[in-house]
Amino acid sequence: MAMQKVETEAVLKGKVRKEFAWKIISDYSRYEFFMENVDKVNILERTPTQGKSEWFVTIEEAPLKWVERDYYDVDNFELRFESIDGDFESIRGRWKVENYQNEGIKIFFIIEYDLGIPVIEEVLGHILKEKMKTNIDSMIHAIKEELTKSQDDDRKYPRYNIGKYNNISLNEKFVRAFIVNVSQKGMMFYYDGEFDAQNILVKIQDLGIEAEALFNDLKHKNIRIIFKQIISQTQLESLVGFLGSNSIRAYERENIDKYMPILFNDSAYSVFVINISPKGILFKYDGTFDWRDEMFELAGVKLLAREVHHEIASKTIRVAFTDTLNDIFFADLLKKIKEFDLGQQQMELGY
Amino acid sequence: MDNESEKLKNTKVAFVAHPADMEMYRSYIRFLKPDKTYDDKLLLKLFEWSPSYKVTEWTNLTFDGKSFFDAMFVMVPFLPEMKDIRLKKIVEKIDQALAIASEQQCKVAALGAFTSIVLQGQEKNFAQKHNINLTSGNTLTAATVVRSIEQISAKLGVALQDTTLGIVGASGDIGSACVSYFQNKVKTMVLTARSESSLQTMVKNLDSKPECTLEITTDNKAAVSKSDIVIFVTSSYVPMFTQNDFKPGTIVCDASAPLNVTISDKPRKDVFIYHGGILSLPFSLDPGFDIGLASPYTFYGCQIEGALMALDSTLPCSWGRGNITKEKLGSFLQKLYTVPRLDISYSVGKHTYSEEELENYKKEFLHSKNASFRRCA
Repeated sequence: MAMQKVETEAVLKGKVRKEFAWKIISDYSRYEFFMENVDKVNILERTPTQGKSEWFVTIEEAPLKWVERDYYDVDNFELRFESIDGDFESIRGRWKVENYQNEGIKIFFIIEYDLGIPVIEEVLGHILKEKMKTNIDSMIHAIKEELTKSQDDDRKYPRYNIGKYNNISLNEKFVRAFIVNVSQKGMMFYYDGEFDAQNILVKIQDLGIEAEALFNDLKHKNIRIIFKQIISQTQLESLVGFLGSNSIRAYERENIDKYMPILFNDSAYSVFVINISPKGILFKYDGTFDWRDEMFELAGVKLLAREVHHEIASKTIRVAFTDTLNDIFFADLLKKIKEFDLGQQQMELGY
Repeated sequence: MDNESEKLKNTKVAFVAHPADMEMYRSYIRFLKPDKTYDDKLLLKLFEWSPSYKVTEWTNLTFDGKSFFDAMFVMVPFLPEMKDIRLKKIVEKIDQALAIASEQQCKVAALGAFTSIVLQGQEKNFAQKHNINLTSGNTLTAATVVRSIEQISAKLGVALQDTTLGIVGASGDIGSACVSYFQNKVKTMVLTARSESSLQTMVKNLDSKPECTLEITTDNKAAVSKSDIVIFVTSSYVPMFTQNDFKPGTIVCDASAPLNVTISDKPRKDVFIYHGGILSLPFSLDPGFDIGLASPYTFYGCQIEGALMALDSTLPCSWGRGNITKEKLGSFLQKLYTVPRLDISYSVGKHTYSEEELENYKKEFLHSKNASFRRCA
């Protein structure tokens, strides 16, 4: 019998972020706590983009089980799955979260299934389809309820804007993160490194807080974490005070202040390098560049960067490296820049 | 359809049935989907949700090579293991099955196993609604049981008039027909049922005063242990006995569906146990999967009653409880003698007894009898 398809959707109006819905949808391990028909989901494998999960679901007293491969597309808020073993001959589907009109989100949930027992599946036909539809309706309803609950919960605790870089300990490792805001319940920050998003230990000042990521937007590097226990108002005030007064730059900049040639598109341009950091270079130049992730050479080192700011009046240009340089590479580049002798270079370039 | 082709069309019977137990249903699912196993709970629910449906049909069947009939198998997705299912839902499923049978122009629908029990008392309404003859098939089952007891006891050298006959489920439709038939043919009858009062009522309603000694009890075990021949005709959906519960030299006719006696891989040589109410046929009725029979050339007496009714419109149908009169039983017993190649089948599980095996049982029974005699002496 051909695959049968059932689909459903839910709309949440208002200030609802796709990330919040994504967090709930993509965390299968919690389904059993808020979906009546889901008995258990065992996460067998999980990477940021793929997973394998084992499902135990009861549809009107009929226990069903299967193992599926899951494909997480966080950029598009789409989760696809396909069974590899279990009661169904095949069951596949997808969750998708989209913006809804001007404000709000729309969640789609589609399932295609093939029970695979000849005769019985034909006889059951529309009866099973109705039950599957009721089942996915109840699942999406549970997601909606959970989302509404978490939104309501989240709004109970006011957020304090920080907007500064700080050194924080994330899972016992000091990292530079741009702290967007903090509340008694959680914190939002930008960080582009990797870490275990499910079991987070944040240490700031003397306060160690266990948390889990509500969402981890790998594309935009923004992360919202939820504290496992609400912190007190006193602790929050102390945190806000510390984060506000102990901010650091994202990356320390090394002042260079000398003329150097930049090799770009087979031409050499003499620029005055003001400073450099693992994120990029600030220099002065009379003319204009049009960089879009292009290769150039500085002090004999090939680099890939894009122009991020060009101030005509002061003739300063800031370019950002396409990928932040790691510590070893940056130290080597810095050493070569500092050792660079313009006279020698001029001779080699035939100035 | 013109009158000529209408005349040429075979008469048709619908075998309305369900799997006798979970194992038979599992085996059906294995037939449909051989490479997978499923949780029983899931299988039960899928079956519970399913409406009745036509499984297969057979055409141009004949006993005598002159009169032909067609038959179809309509599945009522029900199992005795469905403890939570509402009676109304089962009736609904039987109603669907009868609608299918009627649509397919069946003249008779034979209600197998629990379907006839569920519909008891409502047969007339459903027969009228679907314009079809209904039968529980209990009369031919009873005829098959009593005939088989007479036949096998003669074959194994057991003198009926000297025996104690135990009937488990004696107050039921088939049970009471057996009581009535054997009341003057055996030495003692031990009758059991769930209720003693229903047994007393049944005995009171017998046409004549029994010549044999009659014992009434609700203790099945005691009844079985003292009987030389035991007939099981209960509606219990769990096995009640094992082959080890009988004394040597006992003949056991298990005509319950599901069966009441569990047989091990090594059947006893000194107790003859067979699946009662089964007939052997000159044609195959093979649905392709296990229906609890040893051979495709055998079938349930209750269903064959429907086929005989389709071929002979003078035959009465079996409705209700306690309605198997001597005359009714007589007319079906007559069929067992007169319909060509319609015989009693002696089988257990998937095994059909051979003449040689019956001979061996006869020897073993004689040995048991002598040993018993020596013990008494």
